[in-house]
Amino acid sequence: MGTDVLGQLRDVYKTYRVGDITVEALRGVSMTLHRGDFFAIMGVSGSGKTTLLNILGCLDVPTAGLYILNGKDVTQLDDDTLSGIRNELIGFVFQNFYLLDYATVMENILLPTLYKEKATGGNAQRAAEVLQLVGLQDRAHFKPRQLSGGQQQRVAIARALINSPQLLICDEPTGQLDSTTAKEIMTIIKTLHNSGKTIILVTHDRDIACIANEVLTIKDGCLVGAT
Amino acid sequence: MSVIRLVGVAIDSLRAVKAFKLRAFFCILSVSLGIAAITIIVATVEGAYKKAYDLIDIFGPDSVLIIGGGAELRAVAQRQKTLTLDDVSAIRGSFPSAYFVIPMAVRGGVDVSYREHKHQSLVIGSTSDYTASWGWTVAEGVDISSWDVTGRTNVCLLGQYVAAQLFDKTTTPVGKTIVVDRLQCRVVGVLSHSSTSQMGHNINDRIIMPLTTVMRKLQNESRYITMVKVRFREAMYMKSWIGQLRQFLRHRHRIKFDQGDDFTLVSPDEIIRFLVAFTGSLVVFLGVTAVVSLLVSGFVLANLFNLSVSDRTTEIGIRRALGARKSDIFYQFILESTILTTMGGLVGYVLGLVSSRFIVMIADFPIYFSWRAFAIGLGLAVVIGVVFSVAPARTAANLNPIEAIR
Repeated sequence: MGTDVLGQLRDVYKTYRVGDITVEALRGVSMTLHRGDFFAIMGVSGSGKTTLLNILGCLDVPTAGLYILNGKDVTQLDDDTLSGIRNELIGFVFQNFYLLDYATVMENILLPTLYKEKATGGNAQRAAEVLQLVGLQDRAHFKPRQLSGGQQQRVAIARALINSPQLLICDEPTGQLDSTTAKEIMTIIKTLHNSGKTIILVTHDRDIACIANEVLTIKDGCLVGAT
Repeated sequence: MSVIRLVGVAIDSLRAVKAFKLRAFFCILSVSLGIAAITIIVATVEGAYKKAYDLIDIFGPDSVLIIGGGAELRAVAQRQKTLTLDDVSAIRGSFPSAYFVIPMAVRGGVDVSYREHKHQSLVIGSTSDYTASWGWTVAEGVDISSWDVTGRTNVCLLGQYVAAQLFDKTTTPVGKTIVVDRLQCRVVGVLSHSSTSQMGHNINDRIIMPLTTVMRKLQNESRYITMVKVRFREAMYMKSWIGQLRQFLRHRHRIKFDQGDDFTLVSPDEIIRFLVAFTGSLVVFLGVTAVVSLLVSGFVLANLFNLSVSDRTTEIGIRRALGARKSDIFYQFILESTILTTMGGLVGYVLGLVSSRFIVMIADFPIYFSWRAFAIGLGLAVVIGVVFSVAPARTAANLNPIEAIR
């Protein structure tokens, strides 16, 4: 495996039991993620794309198969180690922004630094940098509800970037936004990709998916190929 | 978990405490009531001990009071005249470490008057060492002398209260002649004011006269005295002195081994026991109240936190996604709860301070607030905070992050 490989899924299965019914959310998914890749994953709801994203984001582990991230087999790690990986290696951007209402923009952005394995200095400076990157340096002490949807999503992006993750996972980041704002957000994401970040983007929107270098479609728990 | 990480989580918890104000209000309220009760209990117990020690300070930690008549038989009209002047000289002769052996003949409810002013007071006949042995001083005039005792003179010392009852503020009692029972008596001095209140008795309401005068002229008595105060050098051997004194008197009074004492020994230890027993009933009552209210506040807390955890499911999910471990979430809720109960403890302490004023108004209880009441209240508050938030905190920590951010 070359150094440019960040992550690799090998024949990943994921089954859930809901009552008496077994749901096969993923059925033998394999994919390789190189550093600097920008994937868009498309699929209708129920296709398994959220499950795939959860596994890629180390929020969930496969039922069968391997997920090698940064040279480590993630499927063998305990909960604390997975938390550490999410904290340092992965940044999440969600459809609903998911900011803490009661914390200011700055406090929200600093939240992941709280859970770092080793406390490092310079968090405030780093926060100022990422805030500048998303263009909200003058909103540091605002509460989320004082911001527009687009601004909230930028705060979420800044928060995802604070620990300098290698992989950015964006779950329908523009799903709650109007098309103009969506474009702004996508511009930021594209800029991040250009600066070297590996990005996985889940979306319904073909126009938005087009910004990615490669578009994967998932159907009935299987990746059905690139376009 | 590293200290830095815990401090970070703690600061974050503080933010949540501030954010959820209604929850904070009810947590603090419910805990503070229980802690207030605890604070009052501790302060009452401490007050009782402090009062006991204050009394012993006056009484003398090296002192024993021998009172004629057995303690358990007093009710059945047992002979109270058991202590004699011979006993006093025998104790003086046999206990070289006793530096004061002061006989006292006591009569209560004696009519005293000066011109048209009348009063009833306690008359104590004693020797010239009386004031010294009780730590009194003479504020005005002079003390009773040994001449007065041998000469059976009609002189007296007045307590401040008696002096105030019989004389105007403008007249000095010293040198005046008052009537005690039917005896003309010259006031030679006035005792200093003592601020100790002896369980409702006014300690300043007393008249001191020569022992011989009281025995012969007021009691028509030549042998028996009411009590003897003995003070020992080397107070650390008090227990042993008291034991020896008891055996000595039993022997002198020819008491058989299966019979009870015909005298009562009052030692500093016994004063403490009495006072502490006196406050015991209040302590039990408040103790039950406090335990119940602390339990109730604990359950209120647990419920509020259960609600809070379900309210904040999404937040927990986000934190987990951003890298929080289960333990981070667990400690966050424990800390939130403990911060709140600690605040409740502080409020409770203030509440205890305030409400104790009302208790003192209703019943004259000795209440004394020290760091101990504060520390115990606060300590219990912390314990409640930790114990009752364990279950909700565990629920929060074990939430599945995927479900939580759906």
